[in-house]
Amino acid sequence: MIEKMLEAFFRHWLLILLPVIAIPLDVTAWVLSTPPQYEAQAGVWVERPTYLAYSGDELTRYLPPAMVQRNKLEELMRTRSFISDLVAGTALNAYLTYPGGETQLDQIFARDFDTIQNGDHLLVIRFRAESRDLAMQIVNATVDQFRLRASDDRRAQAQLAISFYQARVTDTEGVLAQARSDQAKYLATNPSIAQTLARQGIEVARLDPQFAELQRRVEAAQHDADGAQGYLQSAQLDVSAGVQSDTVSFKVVDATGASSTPSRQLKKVLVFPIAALVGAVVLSACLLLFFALSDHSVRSLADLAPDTVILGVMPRLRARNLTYAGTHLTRRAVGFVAGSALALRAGDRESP
Amino acid sequence: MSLIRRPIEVLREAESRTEAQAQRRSWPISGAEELFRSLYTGFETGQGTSLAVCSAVQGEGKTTMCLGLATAIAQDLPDRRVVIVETDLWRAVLARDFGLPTAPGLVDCLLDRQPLAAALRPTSLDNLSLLVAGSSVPSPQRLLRSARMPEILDTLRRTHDVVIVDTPAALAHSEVGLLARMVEEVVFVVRTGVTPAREIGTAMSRLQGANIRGIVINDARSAVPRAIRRFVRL
Repeated sequence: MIEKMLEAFFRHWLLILLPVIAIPLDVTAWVLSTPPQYEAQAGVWVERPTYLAYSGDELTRYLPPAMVQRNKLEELMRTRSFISDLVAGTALNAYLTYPGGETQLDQIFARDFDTIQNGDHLLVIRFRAESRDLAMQIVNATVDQFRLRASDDRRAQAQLAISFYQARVTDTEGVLAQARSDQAKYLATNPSIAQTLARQGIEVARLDPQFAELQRRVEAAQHDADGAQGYLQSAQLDVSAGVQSDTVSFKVVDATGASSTPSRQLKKVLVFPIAALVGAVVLSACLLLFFALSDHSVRSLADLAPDTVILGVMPRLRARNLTYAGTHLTRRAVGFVAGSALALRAGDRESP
Repeated sequence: MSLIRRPIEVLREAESRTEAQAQRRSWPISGAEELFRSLYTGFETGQGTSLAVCSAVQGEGKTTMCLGLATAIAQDLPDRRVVIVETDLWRAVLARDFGLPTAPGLVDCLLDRQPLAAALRPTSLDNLSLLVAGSSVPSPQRLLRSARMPEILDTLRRTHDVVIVDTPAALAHSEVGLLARMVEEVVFVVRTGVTPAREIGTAMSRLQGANIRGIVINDARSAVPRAIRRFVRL
């Protein structure tokens, strides 16, 4: 097998080595041809999103706040509306004015935007651009937009919850009013029970089963109404607390700063050429394997059956001093001795 | 009649040859005569006077081998009459290589259009003749299978000391088996980088009944540099 591999390699060495040479060179040239960029970044201290207690986000309960917020930000970065809002006040806004610009924006953010989780609470937002101002603008806009989105999100959820509990309070109060009305009607039609209730209290009046049932309904409706009212007050409290906690749960601890000189990413300068080299080596190895395995022809005596009788081995014959060769040069050169049509160069021909 | 003599006899004969006999035309390929000479001395133990050169597929160097062997024998042994018979009627090349008219040739003899003596072409070596393929016919395989073919070979064996038959590719034409059985010995040519290793056995099986002397590896070359071959002991 080693012999076959070596044969395949030296027979196709140019083709096999070409990827190893060309691909890393191309990648390095591409890396060096890309202009250096300014890098801006901001450090943001984040807490777990303080959604309302009843929203109970079970899935993210055990994840660090920074990871939760980072995932959320990355999801938002994949939406057109967020990107549009983000670039609205920046130089990148021009991309939104022509068809295909959004795609380019997506590519820019996919390439130049990073969020890095640095610990449980610290989130670093980073953007690279050829202009220092643009890099800072984008980072600032990202922080602002993300905070705004989080706040809007929380507010929308709170409003929804408040609306729900308000409806619930209305319903329970309606049920309570109905129960009280039914009880009052029963007492009006049964004065003896009303007297008993007035003289001996409700415990004695409960001896009447129908009154007892009406009283139970009133009490249950009251309990529901009180509960709904409690939830509503809790929701309103959560909303006001949540809105006020925005500044705490998403706080910029390191203000946006940018590098003073443009530079190339270390990833691009080192990792890309190395990755290209590794990829090219793999490609070359695959090519070598392909050439070795696809060559089914006899290359050496080892390819013949062990009991084969070898009469002789003719090396490649090379003709010399030929003026006209044409096709099948070797055969014609061998036949020349017996007088073939092959001609020798003037002066080299020997007289027969 | 022995095809080959022992090397010492060859050397003695070469010494006794005149300068004019020895210096005919020099080989335009360095060392080629020695290579072909080493090949035919390898056949020494055989007693055949006719030899077929076969291969599995086309383009493996059968005709080159025939030419080289015949030329080397004719040069080294001037008292031996050698003839090359081109039976590859599908891919006839000898007439073109030697700048000869295509007809008359083997086909014309098989069709009884021409006497065999008229079809034999002389070469610049006095003791070497050619029987080229001849006129083209629509179904050459019928001619090779005809009873006339062994008759022609018998006639050539009577008139020549060494008959070298250049056959078509064994995998392409089943007539090769017949031809191989008409001669005393068969040499199988395998060209490196061309002959599929798996096909050699198939081609050999088509020559069943023939006396296959062995294989000649043609165009043997390795792309691996010698130093590396030595290093990995290939």
